[in-house]
Amino acid sequence: MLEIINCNVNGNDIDIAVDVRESLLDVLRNKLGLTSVKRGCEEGECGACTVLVDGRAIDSCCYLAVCADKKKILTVEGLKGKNGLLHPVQQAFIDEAAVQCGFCTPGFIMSALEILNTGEIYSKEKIKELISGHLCRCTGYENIINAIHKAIMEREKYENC
Amino acid sequence: MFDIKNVYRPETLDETFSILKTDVDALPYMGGTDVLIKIKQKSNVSQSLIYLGDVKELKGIFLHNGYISIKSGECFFNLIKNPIIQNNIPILKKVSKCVGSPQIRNVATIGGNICNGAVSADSVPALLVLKAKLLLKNADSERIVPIEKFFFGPGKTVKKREELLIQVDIMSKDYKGYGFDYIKFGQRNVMEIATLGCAAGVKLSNNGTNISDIRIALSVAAPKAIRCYATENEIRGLEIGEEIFKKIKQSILAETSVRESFRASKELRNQLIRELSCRAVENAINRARDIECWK
Repeated sequence: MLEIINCNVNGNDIDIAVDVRESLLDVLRNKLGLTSVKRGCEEGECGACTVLVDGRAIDSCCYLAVCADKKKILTVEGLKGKNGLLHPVQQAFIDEAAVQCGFCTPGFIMSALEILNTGEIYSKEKIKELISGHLCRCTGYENIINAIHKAIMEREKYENC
Repeated sequence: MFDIKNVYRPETLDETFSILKTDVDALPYMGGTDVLIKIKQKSNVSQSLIYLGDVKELKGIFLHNGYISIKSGECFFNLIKNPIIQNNIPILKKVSKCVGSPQIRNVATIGGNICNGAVSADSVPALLVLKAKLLLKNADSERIVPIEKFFFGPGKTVKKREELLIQVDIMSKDYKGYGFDYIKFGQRNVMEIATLGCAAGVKLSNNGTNISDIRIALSVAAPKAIRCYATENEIRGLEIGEEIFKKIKQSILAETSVRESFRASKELRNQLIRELSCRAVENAINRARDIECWK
């Protein structure tokens, strides 16, 4: 059964017909072509499908697309910095070599963004806790934590864009 | 794709109750972190869902005169950040931080955790020692069920199909002056189902030397989360000292019936029950002493 929902995806208001059986992950990848949202474990364990819904990081694999009606969704495709450059969080991931195979990266970046948006300063130990809903099979956690820490420390840059 | 017939999205409780009356297959859900995964694993047959996330009457945490009400639709993230919880019942904050991962806690709700009826539910031992009262409503009537009477087996609760859990009430006489602690044992720190969970609450006598009231609750120690009344009765009134822990270790296993599972053997679980209940009680005594100091 199809239902039309109205939501804001990466800053654009859209009306889209979704099947009630579809997860938000299905719709973002298959209907909207936002392939930064990765299909991983599909049971909320790995965090590869993390997107922000109304500013909160959620696993889009266990979130029904119809429930995203009237909500604001953000994926990595919706990130950009000043003058079309990379968003500071993305840049921090590159600077700290926090990307290996890259499959987990978009999810980590969305959680990093949620962490940054709280406006608080976190220690590396606390960052570990905050990204505990993500798995990196390349085990490159050290650099990921460094990148998020760097992004937090250089927050002014981010706030200006 | 999920094997779902239809998804209702009511905005009020009245609407929800009328859906529950007309569609006998419809299952209410909120975060979906249990329900949707069960559907995916095919353990739930094709059915309709009622998404309660838009029902405003199920949101909010309130401090009333004499009790705290937590609406069932509050997610664990909100419980962690809420000043009423932090200032009055910090044990619920500690417990909420044990649930799943940050992404799960952003959607998973306390009501869902209770109604799912899992023996390992993180919030339940704490709610047992807080003597929480659950408000259940259907279209025409409502009733209050104490949490110790809510479960009767794994995944089985007294909540009828057409009823909804509206809120969890915690009376101030049940938390004021008490020190609490919750210990969860698992193989890792996050995304873990408890191998064993133990919550304890202790109130000290006026001079701080004796235990005037004690509550101990365990999860995964029986087919449902339990309060250990017999052990509590043995300890109540005793002077604080090694004797208490000896008594706990002696009597607590008589109240539990653990099972063997791939997560842990019977022997390990029994050892955990003896050890964790002592540690939780010890921490709760220390917290209760801190409260005495403030007086």
